Amino acid sequence: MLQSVVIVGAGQAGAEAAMALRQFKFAGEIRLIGREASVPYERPPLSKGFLTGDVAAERLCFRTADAYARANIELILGREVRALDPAERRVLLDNGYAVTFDACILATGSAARRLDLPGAELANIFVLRTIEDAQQLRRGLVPGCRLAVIGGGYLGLEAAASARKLGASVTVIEALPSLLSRSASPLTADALCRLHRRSGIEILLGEAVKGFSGELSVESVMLASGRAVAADLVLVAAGGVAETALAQDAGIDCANGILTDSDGRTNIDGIYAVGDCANAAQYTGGPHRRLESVQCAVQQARRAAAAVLGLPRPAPKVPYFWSEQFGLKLQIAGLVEPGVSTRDEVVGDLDGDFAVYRFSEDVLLAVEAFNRPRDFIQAQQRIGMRDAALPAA
Amino acid sequence: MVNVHFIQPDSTRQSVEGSEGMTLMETAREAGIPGILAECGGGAICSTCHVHIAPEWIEKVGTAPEMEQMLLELAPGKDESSRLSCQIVLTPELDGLTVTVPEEQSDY
Repeated sequence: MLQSVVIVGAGQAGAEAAMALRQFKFAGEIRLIGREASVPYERPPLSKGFLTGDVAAERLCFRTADAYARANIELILGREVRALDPAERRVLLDNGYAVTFDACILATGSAARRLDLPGAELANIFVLRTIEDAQQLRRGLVPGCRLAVIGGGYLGLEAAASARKLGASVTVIEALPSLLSRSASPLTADALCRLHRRSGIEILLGEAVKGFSGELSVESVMLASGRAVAADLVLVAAGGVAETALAQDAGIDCANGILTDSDGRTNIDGIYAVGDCANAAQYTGGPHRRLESVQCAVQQARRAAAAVLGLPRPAPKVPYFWSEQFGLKLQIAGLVEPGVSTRDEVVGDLDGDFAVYRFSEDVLLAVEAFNRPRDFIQAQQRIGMRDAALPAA
Repeated sequence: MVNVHFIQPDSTRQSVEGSEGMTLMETAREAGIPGILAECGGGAICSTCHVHIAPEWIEKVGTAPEMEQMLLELAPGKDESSRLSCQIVLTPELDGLTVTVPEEQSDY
């Protein structure tokens, strides 16, 4: 009989899994183990409102510690899990304690990719994943400072926009010839590039970083082209890497994340994985997919909690994502798999409010709506449809 | 303190003390109220914190603005009493507010 569930990782996926188990009426023991000292909190604002100082740290936490206590969820915070022992059904903590379980949900998240380049150890080179990372970066973001952001994905662009708002002089360095190349249409990527440039951010495309120079602190970013970008601060926003070490050491199959079925089950009975760390089979039978998004974390957590308890699983839903830059919202419904070619059509003004409709053989795969929430909302019911008509501009 | 009452589809009732300035969704989340998912964290981009406002409170709470109306179209069981709980900020006037949690949210 299922009496205890241990959740490793107290981010959004882990917290949601814990609460979902209780809401699904599981009466046994739930232990939520997290490396950070804070109760679980939202990460999306770290590059947006929290970085600019508009959102206070207390507002980031989903719930107070009291709420977990009332739900009889034991929080074990500021502790790292050193090993997972599937045979003995227990995890070992960094303080030497062992915690046993009947079922284990891994929600270990993803870590910021670090650059193994000369000078990477210099001071004032940051990543952005935790409250502490954001606080450190913010301390340096004084008016007139020079920030170099490495990586033109969502995190890098959001942080660049926030830093600009704080009065920093910002340069974004992207190795590929366009921004957001893995996650948005060329039309949207180019529109955001122009928006950033209009807002005074320098964007360098097709420039690879080869190292950093400086005495103790970083002073410039050296590019492969020979150019140097002067910087007082550097943010490395070069993507996330699934945290799989614990799972791998336990003999769980991993490949770009912990491999799971569409309910979050790994290849070892009773062990599940959800959120950023999971590379999950799709409900529809498509290829495995690892998504770093709030919606994915929450849905996988709820699905796995239902699977742990043997309850009916929630129906799948169209994936969606959002980003916020300069106070404007980019909302994306649907997903275009890498390598799929699309016909992209624009509604609206690419230098104002617009939506890009992405079709493959007349099937609507995704809609990217920039400051056009109506298109995003309506898209949620139309993704996957054939011959979906474009709205009137 | 602003007292709020949540009624589940099976008629069980939970009363929660919220505070002024918090949203109804945040209050529900803190109290661990089942059925209010708030998948997007209060950004008004999903519709998974849908609730039905009790008839006697509809006037005080007010009706949903246009964009929220559109999001509510995605919510199962949507009717004239529907609101997104993340868009309702608690004020002293809302002390005693009673809402019903829907049978299902849009992803469940």
